Amino acid sequence: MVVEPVYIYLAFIFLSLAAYAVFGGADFGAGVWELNTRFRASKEEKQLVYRALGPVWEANHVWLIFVMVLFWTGFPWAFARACNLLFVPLFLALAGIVFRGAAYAFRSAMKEDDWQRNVWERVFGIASTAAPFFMGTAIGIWSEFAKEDYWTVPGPVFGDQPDSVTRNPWLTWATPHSLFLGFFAVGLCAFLASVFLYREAVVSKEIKLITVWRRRALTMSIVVGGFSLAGLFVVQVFLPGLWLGICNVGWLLVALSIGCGIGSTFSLWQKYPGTAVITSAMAVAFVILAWGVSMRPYMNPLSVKFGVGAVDDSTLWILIGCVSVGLIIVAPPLIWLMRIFKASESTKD
Amino acid sequence: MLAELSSDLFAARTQMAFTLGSHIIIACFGVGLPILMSIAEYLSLRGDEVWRSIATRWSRAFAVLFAIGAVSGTVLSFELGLLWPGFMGKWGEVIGLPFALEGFAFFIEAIFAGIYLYGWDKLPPRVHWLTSIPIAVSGFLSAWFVVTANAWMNAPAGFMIAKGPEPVNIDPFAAMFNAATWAQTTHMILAAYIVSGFSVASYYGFQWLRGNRTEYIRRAMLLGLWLGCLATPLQLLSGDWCSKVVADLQPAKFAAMEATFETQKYAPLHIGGIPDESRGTVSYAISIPGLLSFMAHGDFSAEVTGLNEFKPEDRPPVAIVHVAFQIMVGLGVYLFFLSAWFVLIRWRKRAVTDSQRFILCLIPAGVAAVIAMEAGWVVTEVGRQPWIVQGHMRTSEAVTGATGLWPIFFVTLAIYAVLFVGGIVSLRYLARQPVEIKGGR
Ligand code: HDD
Ligand code: HEM
Ligand code: HEM
Repeated sequence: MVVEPVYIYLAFIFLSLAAYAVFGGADFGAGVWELNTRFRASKEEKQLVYRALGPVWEANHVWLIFVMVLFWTGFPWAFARACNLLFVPLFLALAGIVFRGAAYAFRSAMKEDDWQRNVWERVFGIASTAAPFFMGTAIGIWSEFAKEDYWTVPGPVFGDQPDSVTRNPWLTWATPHSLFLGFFAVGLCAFLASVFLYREAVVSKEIKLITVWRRRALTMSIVVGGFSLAGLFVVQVFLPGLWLGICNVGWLLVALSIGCGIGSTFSLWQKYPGTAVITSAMAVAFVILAWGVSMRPYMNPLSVKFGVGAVDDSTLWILIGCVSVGLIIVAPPLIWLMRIFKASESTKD
Repeated sequence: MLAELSSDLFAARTQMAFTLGSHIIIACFGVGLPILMSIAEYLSLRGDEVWRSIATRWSRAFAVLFAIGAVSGTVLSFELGLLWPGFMGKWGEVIGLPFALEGFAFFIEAIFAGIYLYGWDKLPPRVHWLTSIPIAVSGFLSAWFVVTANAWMNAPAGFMIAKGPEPVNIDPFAAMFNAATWAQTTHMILAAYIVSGFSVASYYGFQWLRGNRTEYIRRAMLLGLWLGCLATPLQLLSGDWCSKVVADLQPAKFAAMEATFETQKYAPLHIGGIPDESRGTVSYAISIPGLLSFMAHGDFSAEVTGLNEFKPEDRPPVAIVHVAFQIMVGLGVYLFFLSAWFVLIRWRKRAVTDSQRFILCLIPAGVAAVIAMEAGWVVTEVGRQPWIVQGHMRTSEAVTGATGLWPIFFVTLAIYAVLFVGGIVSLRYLARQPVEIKGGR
C-alpha cells in the first residue's frame, strides 16, 4: 500500500488541532468560569483557576501556532482562501487570544486585591470566552464549503469565485449554524475546564472545591451532551455537505466521541477524576477529528494535483520528516512540564 | 497621492510594519533576556543572594514580556494570511519550513519558560538553572528561523519558475539557506543582544544616577553592559558583511541606502545628507570619494551600480532608506564608542560606577539600540520595495482583496496600545516592589 503523504500531513494538522482544542480549550474554559463566577468566587476558587493555568498556557497556546504554520505550508492556497473568507471571525478570535494571554500575564504581575488586577481578571474572563466563540463561528462558516472545489482551486484569491462575490466577509459571517458552533465551542471549553479543575482540586485536596467543581462538571457534561445532539441536527439542516461526510466516514468518530462523553459523565458521577479527564479530553478530540474527516474531500488537496499549485509530495515528505523529528524532540520536555505541575497520585477522590 | 494613501495596499503595509515593528522589540528581549537571567542565576548558585534576587526579579519581568511576545507574534502569523494571501498562497510552500521549525523553537521556549517561571520552589537550584538554557537557545533559534524567511524575501532561492505562474522544483532547505541568510541572521541576533543588554544597562544606570546606589543596581547594570558591549563590535563587522551581501544581491537597495543615483567608479560614501529623488542629488552630506566602492567591493576604483540602472517603477523610496541607514550606522558607531570606553575603564581596573560621565552617556543607549534596530528593518523592508519577493513578486500583487482595511488597522492599533500600555504598567509595577535580599544588605 502506498501512503499518500498528504494524509500523513493532514493527520498531523488535525491531531495538533485536537491537542489545541483539548489543552487550549481547557485554558479558555477556565477563563469562561472566571467570567461566570466572578462575583461569587471565593479566593481559593480563583487561586485554583489561575494556578492551574500558569505554567502550561503558553505551551498549550503553541499548538495553535503550529496548526497555522502547518496549514499554510502544506496548503498555501487553501490557507489564503480561508483567511480571506474568515477575515472577521478570525480577527475577533485573534483579539480574544491577545487579550487573554496579555491579561493573564498582567494580572500575575499585580498584587492581590489591587484594582488593576481585578480589571485584568475581568478582561481575562471576557477574552477567554470570546476567543473560542469566534473560532467556533469560523469553523461554522468553513464547514459550509464542504460542497465544491472551493478550497482546492488555486489562483487569485478574492472575487474569482462565485461564492466570494456573493459572500461579503464583513456581513455574512454570522449565520445560525456558525453562531451555534460558537456557543458550542464555548460550552466545550467550559466543560473541559470544569473536569480538569475538578481533578486539580482533588490533587490539591481542597474539599470544598472538589464538591463545587464536580457538580459543575456533571452539569456541564449534561449540557454539552445535549448541545452535541442538537448540533447533529444543526449540521443536518444547515450543512448538508458536512452531514454527508459524517454519514459516510465521520460517524465512527462521532460515535466514539459520544461514548467518551458518556464515559466522562459516568466517571464524574463515580468520582474518578483521572478517568474523567481522559474521557472528556478524548470526547473533544474526537469531535475535531470527526469534523476533519467529514470535511474530506473538500480540503483534500489530492485533487489539486492535477492542476497547478499543488504542494509537491517531495516538499510534503520533507515537512513530515521535520515535523516528526520536531515532535520527538518536543515530547520529553512537554511530558516533563506536565509531570512537574500536573502529576498526582490520587485517582479517586 | 491621496488615492495611494487611502488604498488598501497602503493600509496593509502600514499594519504589517507597525505590528512587526512592535513585535520585534519584545522579541529582542525574548532572545537576550534569558541569557542575562541565566548568567545571574548561575552566579547565584553558590549562595549569592544579590544575584538570586536579580534573577528572580528578571524572571518576573520576562514572564510579562514573554506573554506579550507570544500574543503579538500570534497576530503576525494570522496577518501573513489575512493581509498577504497572494504571498502566502504562492510562496508558503517555499518558505514554510523555517516557520514550521520556528514553531518547534516556540514550543521548547514556552515549555521551559513554564518550568522556569513556576519551578523556583519545585526544582533543585542547579536543575532550575539548567532549564534556563533551553530558553536562551530556543529564543536564538526562533529568531534565526524567522529571519531566514525574511532573508529569502531578499534573496529568493530553492525553487524554479517554469511554465506556469507557480514555483516548481521546490527545495525548502535551499530556500532556508539562501545567500542572505547567514549575514542577516547573524546581524539580527546580535542586534537582539545589543537591544537587551543596553536597555537593561540604561535602566539601571538611570537608577544609579538617581541615587539608588545599591549592590543590586550595580551588578544588574554591569551584566547588561557586558552583553551589549561584547556584541556591538561584532555587530559592526556583521553590518559590513550585510552591506556586501546587499550590494551583490540587491543593487537597487544598496544604491538607495547609499543614495547613489548614477553608476560610477570611485563612488563616494555619503555620510548623512538628504537625498532628493526628483533631481537625483544629495544635499548636506559629507562625501568621501572612493570609499563606497571600497566598502562594497573592496576596491576604491570598483564600479557601484546607481539607481539610474533601474526603471523608475523598480526603485525603492530613496530618502527613507538612506536616512534610515544613516541612523542605524550612526547609532551603531555611538554604541561602539560606548563599548570601547567601557572596555577602557575596565582595562584600567576602574569601576564604571565611579564615572558619572560614562553613566550619563550610557543612559540613551537602550533607546538608541532599539532605534538602530528599527531603522535597520526599515532599510531591509522599504529598501526591498517595490518587491515583496525580490525580483519575483511585487508587493501590490500580494495584498489581500478584502477592502476596508483601515478600520482594521485602527482596531489593531488600539489593541496594541492596550497591550503595550498594560505591559509597561505591569513592568513598572514589578519594578516598584521592594528588592528583597535574604540575609540583609
Ligand atoms: C542594534 C542594532 C543595529 C546596529 C547597531 C546596526 N544594525 Fe544593521 N540592522 C539591524 C540592526 C542594527 C537589524 C534591525 O537587525 C537589521 C534589519 C534586518 C536584519 O537582518 O538586521 C539590520 C540590517 C542591516 C542591513 C540590511 C540588510 C538587508 O537588507 O539584507 C545592512 C546593510 C546593515 N544592517 C548594516 C549595518 C552597518 C554597516 C552597521 C554599523 C555601523 C549596522 N548595520 C549597525
Ligand atoms: C521574518 C521577518 C519578516 C517578514 C517575513 C516580513 C514580511 C513583510 C511583509 C510580507 C511585508 C509587506 C509587504 C512589503 O511592504 O514588503 C512587510 C513590510 C514591512 N515590514 Fe517586514 N517582515 C519581517 C520582518 C520585519 C521586521 C522585524 C520589521 C521591523 C520593523 C519589518 C518592517 C517592515 C516594514 C517597515 C514594512 C513596510 C514596507 C513598505 O511598505 O514600504 N519587517 N514585511
Ligand atoms: C513574519 C514575521 C514573524 C512571525 C509570523 C512571528 C511569529 C511569532 C509567534 C507566533 C510568536 C509566539 C510564540 C509563542 O507562543 O511563544 C513569536 C514570538 C517570538 N518571535 Fe516572532 N514572529 C515574526 C517575526 C519575528 C522576528 C523578525 C524575530 C526576530 C528576531 C522574532 C523573534 C521572536 C521571538 C524570540 C519570540 C519569542 C517570544 C518572546 O520571547 O517574547 N519574531 N513570533
